[in-house]
Parts: sequence; structure tokens; C-alpha cells
Amino acid sequence: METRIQALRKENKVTQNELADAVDVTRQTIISLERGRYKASLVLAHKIAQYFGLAIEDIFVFDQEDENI
Amino acid sequence: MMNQPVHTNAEFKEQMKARNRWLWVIPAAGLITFVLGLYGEFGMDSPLSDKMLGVYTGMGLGLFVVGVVLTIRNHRIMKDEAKLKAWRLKYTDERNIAISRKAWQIAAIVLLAGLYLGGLIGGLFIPVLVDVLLCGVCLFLVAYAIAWQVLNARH
Repeated sequence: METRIQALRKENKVTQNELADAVDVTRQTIISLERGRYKASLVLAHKIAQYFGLAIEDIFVFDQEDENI
Repeated sequence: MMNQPVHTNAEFKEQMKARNRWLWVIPAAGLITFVLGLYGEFGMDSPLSDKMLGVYTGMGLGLFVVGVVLTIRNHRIMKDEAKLKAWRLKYTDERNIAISRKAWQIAAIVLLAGLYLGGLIGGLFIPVLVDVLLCGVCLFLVAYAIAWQVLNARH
């Protein structure tokens, strides 16, 4: 799944470690999310959205075909 | 790996303490197996083969060492907040949990295929293998079915 995490991190000058610490996951999970190799759970998506003060759909890009929506 | 979701080091420490309370079972089982193996080897005229006695002593000693090492490691982790946090993240990170589940699935498929093929092919040479290994397959499937029903009722 495509995300805007990397762009938002850079905009807010936040490191992967800082974000990982804030949302209670490993740095590897943040890397995988940024590369689109891992789909976050609803709870993690919510935590990340809350961290950046945005809505989930502003960060996680749902591909209607991929997600069969 | 852990039963309840944990969000802080204190909660994780409590879970580790709870697990440590049961950890003595591993070295105890290992020690009993090891002593029985030694007793069979040196203490009496055992009907068991040298190979089986070697398996008992080897497995027993292995379990004992693993149990002791795990206990010491857990105590060290609990004393160090940085290590505790690293372990908490390792065990509670949702991606790690997903990877672990996937690895279990793959291992289960390989195990089932190994038992099935081992039973069918090995049984040609050692007939008892068919019974033992296919019983293993049945045990696995029954355990899966029961676990599925229980979890389905709970969630």
C-alpha cells in the first residue's frame, strides 16, 4: 500500500526512529510502511495519523482495485 | 508471542515475570530426563539401547541448559530499561507478529508435508513409521480444528 509517511516525515523533520518510538513499533516497520511492503493495521494507521495530526486517508493511499473496494 | 497487548515497559515486565514463573518447567523437565538417562546408562541394567539413553541424556541436558539460559537472559532484560524496551518492541511490533504468524504457517505446511511423505515413503522400509508419522499429521489437524473452534467461540 502506498503511503505519504516518508514525505510527511521529511516535511516535519522527523526521523524514522522518532516516528517508530512515538507509535510504538520498530524502525523496520516504518521502513516497510514507507516502501509500501507492509500494510498497517487500523490501530497503527490511526496512531500515525494522530502523530501527524491528519486523517488516515490523508496518509494511506487506498488503491480501489488492489483493495477490492 | 505474548498473550495480552502491552504498551509500556512496566506491563511488559509483568508479562515477563508471569512467563518466568513457569519457565522453571523447562530446566526441571530437562534435568529429570537427563538424570533418568544417566541412571539408565550407569545405574541399572536398562533394556533401552545406548542410542536411546544418549538421546535422553542429550535432550535432557539441552533442555536444562536452554531453560537456565532463558531464565538468566530474562532477568538481565528486566533489569535494563533500554533492553526491555527493545524486547517489548520486538515482541509487540505488529509487523514482527505478522511475520512470525506467516513463518509458523510455512513451517506447519513443511512439517505436515514432511510427516506425510516420511510416513508413506519411510513406511516402505520401517512399517511403524506409517503409524507414528501419520498419527502426527492427525494430531496436528485435530489440534488445529479444536483450536479453531475455541478461538471462534472466544472472538
